Amino acid sequence: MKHVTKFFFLFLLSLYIFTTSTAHAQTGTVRVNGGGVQFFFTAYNQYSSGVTLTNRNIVKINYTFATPPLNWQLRVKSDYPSIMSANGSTPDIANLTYLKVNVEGTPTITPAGNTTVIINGAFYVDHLTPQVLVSGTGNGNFEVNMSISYSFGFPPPSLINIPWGLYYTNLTFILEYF
Amino acid sequence: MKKVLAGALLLLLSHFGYSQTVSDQAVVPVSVTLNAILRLTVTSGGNIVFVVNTVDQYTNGIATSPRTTTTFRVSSTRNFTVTMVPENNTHFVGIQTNNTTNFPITNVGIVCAGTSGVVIPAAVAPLLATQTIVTSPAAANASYTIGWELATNAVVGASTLLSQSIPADVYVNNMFLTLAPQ
Repeated sequence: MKHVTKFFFLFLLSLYIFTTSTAHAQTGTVRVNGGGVQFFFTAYNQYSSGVTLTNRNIVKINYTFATPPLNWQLRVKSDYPSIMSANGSTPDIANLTYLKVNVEGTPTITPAGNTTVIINGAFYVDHLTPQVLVSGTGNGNFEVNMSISYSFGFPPPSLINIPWGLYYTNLTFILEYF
Repeated sequence: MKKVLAGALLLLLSHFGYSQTVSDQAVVPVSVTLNAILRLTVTSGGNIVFVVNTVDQYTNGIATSPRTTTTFRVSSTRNFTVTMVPENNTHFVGIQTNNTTNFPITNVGIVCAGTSGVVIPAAVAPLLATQTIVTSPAAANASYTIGWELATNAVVGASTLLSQSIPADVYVNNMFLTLAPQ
């Protein structure tokens, strides 16, 4: 019985070491190039129809030693439940559905064929539930580059009657594999 | 020994959980600047002149006409009001005699109309010392008119210019139109 217990302990230890090495092998990074996103509203039709910043950021996903094939996804969420007001006396914009994220065009994959990429289409950001921007199944090393556009204030609702001022939030891009 | 095994098993399971979750993340700050959109432009009728030179005009006044109508436009991304305030809020000033007592502002009447919101007065009424003439939801390029009348029956009733025996002079006043968000 004692030998069985020792054997079981050694088995768990070896399994732990194996999974540790596996986890380190499957590494991925996400980088967002292009800096912060700034919307300026200076005309009535922008308030009523919204503003789009096309090809504002380049998102780069890089996977190394991703074998065997793995599923991955890039999700986006707002760090705050509202579009926050920078002025303490002005109320926040309570509705996050003013802010929309979209992938422009077709992502580039290097080397081609090492992963699939499924674009989820434009969506309004959420705070509690990160939305899937793109997903795929990869095998081996690969890099995915994609152009991101942002829209703000497309009705409904429009920005008409929103108090003037400076507002902000943070978007977090979350890269996951499973 | 059982406790050691249980601990090792928990460590292993937690490691499985860790290795299957977030791989990496990046943060992008987003800022939105909403600049004030609040514009009022007088497009015509910025200088209204009444010339009274007949007894009939002294008796019946001068009714509004396109020549005595002010037109202005408003664009605002917030609900707004337009208020009109005479610079001298009791009398017009006689520029030759500096007379400030003989020509009360109530000798002049206005009637307003517009494409957005509630406009007051909708029928001819005497000038007031301060008056909100437009209360409107946000609008783009809304158009408004102010029709001016001098001493008509709708403005002064029986108290005609003739009955007031006002000295001859050129009487002037400035009207301030103020656009403000609600």
